[in-house]
Amino acid sequence: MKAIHRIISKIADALFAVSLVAGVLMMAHVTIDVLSRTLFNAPLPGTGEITASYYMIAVAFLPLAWVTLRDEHVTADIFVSALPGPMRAVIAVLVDLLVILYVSAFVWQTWVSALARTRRGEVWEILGGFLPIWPTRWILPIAGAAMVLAMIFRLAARLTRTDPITGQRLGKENA
Amino acid sequence: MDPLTFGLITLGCMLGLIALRVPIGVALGVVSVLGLAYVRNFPIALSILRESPFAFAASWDLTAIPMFLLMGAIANHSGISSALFRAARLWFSALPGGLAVAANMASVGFAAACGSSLASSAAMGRLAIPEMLRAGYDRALATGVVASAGTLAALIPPSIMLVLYGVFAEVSISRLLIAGIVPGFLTAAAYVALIVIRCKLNPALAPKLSDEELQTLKADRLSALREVWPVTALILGIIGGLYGGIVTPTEAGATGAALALLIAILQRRISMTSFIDSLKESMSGTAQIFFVGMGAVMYTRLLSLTGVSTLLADMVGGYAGDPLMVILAISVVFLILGMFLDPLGIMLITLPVFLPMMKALGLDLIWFGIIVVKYVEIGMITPPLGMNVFVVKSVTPSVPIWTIYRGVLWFLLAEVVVMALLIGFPQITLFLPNLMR
Repeated sequence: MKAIHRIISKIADALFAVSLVAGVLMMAHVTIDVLSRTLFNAPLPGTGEITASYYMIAVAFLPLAWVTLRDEHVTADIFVSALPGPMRAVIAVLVDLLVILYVSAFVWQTWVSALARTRRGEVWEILGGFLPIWPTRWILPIAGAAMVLAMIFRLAARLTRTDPITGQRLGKENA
Repeated sequence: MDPLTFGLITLGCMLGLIALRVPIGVALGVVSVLGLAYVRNFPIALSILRESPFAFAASWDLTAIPMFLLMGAIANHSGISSALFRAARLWFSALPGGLAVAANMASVGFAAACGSSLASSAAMGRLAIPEMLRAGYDRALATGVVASAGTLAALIPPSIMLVLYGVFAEVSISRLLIAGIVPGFLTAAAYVALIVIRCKLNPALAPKLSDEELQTLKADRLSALREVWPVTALILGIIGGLYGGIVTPTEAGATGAALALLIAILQRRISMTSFIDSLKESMSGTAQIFFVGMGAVMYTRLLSLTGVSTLLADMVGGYAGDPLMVILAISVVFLILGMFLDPLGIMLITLPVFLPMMKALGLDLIWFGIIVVKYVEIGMITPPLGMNVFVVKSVTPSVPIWTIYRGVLWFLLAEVVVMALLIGFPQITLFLPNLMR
């Protein structure tokens, strides 16, 4: 369990790190565009398209595995917390399975889409040229696959009473 | 099956899944895919899952979300909240309930730098509540004001909720953000009036500071402004830029984040670690929002493809002359959902249902956006699930949760007045954006 935990957190951290870099680039690129446009009347061509199709896609999807490991998805906890412990545990496992199924379908479909667009060499027309879009299509299946791995790990951790963030075994009192 | 039954069944399934603690994004997505597979076929359902996530996220308008989050996180990590509260305390302490008024006004300032209610309540809670309790303030008042004033963050620009609403309602986000200003200040003013009146009638709620302390506070007033003016200038610059149409919301967010970072570096208030923490918060927050948003886009597609949207529009069409009944019914729905769901979930689940109705009634979608965000934020302070109250509880463990709710109850009274004004007089919301062009 320890070794698996290390690999999965490494993957999640690495993808998350890429999204942080994309966030900084987005801030810098847009700010430079605004400055250059207002001061020198010379906007950077394609800022909007690059921001939307590269930085934004990275920022929106790459943190998913990291968020999943920490169980930070938007949920409503109030109803389940009223249920007795054993029932809660069963529901939690079923919910994990549903999430795995849904995100796997997402990976499969976005994979199909990325493959088709790569073969076609998808581009967007921007001022003064073409911006290749097909590479960023792959971010979706990659981020989704990492989320599925993180989710499977969470489920395994739930069944073996391991803390999904530290990889430590939980004591009886926390179980 | 007729579209109405079908629509209700999908809604019921979704709420059922959410109650079982299925992430809201997954609940929306699963119901949409299965619903489409049922009325059409699986290939069509899967094609929606294939195309809508990228198309939704690769949007220039939505790039304002990570940038607003980043700007707020940088402002928060650079300790802007303590500077604001220090200044507000010096200026407002002489009023009845002065520290509570100061906490409220500091929240207004914080709201103008940061779009997150939870961050606002957490930051103000850590600073202002201990100060008020030390001064002998009533515990319900001290905690209630912080939880309630936190909700201003979603109304006063920058606001994450308004950007999301704007994308789903297909209205100008700049105008929406500008429209949030007056209702935001109206709410803050109602809170101030409430605090002052309550403390005037019952001075035991908030003991007055001693005269010599008030004297020393006066002396420091101007020096306190030195600390907050750069951020104030930044905020006014952003709002001015949006109002004048010089920058788009994304550009306002990105340059705002860059300038907030520059100010924090010049004032030596931020370290590399806290900058990276700001980035982590804002980028993981973005992914959380988009995971739900992607599901909401699919649900919108389901409702429009199956004719539910048209049906909903037809149903309310007869009320076009007198939309008040519909608005009141919608208000009840928001208040009930607000008791159990968080703002993002409520907004993204209800918009696919309510927006076609609003269009059929011919109501102004910018005005409706402000009403939605107000209700969603009121949901953050209503029991049993009041996220802001939970945050205040977590930073002041010594105060029981029902004491905080008791304090919030008074502010909910003020909200009744504010909502009646906003619904009864749409021009309060609309006159500022209507001046733009």
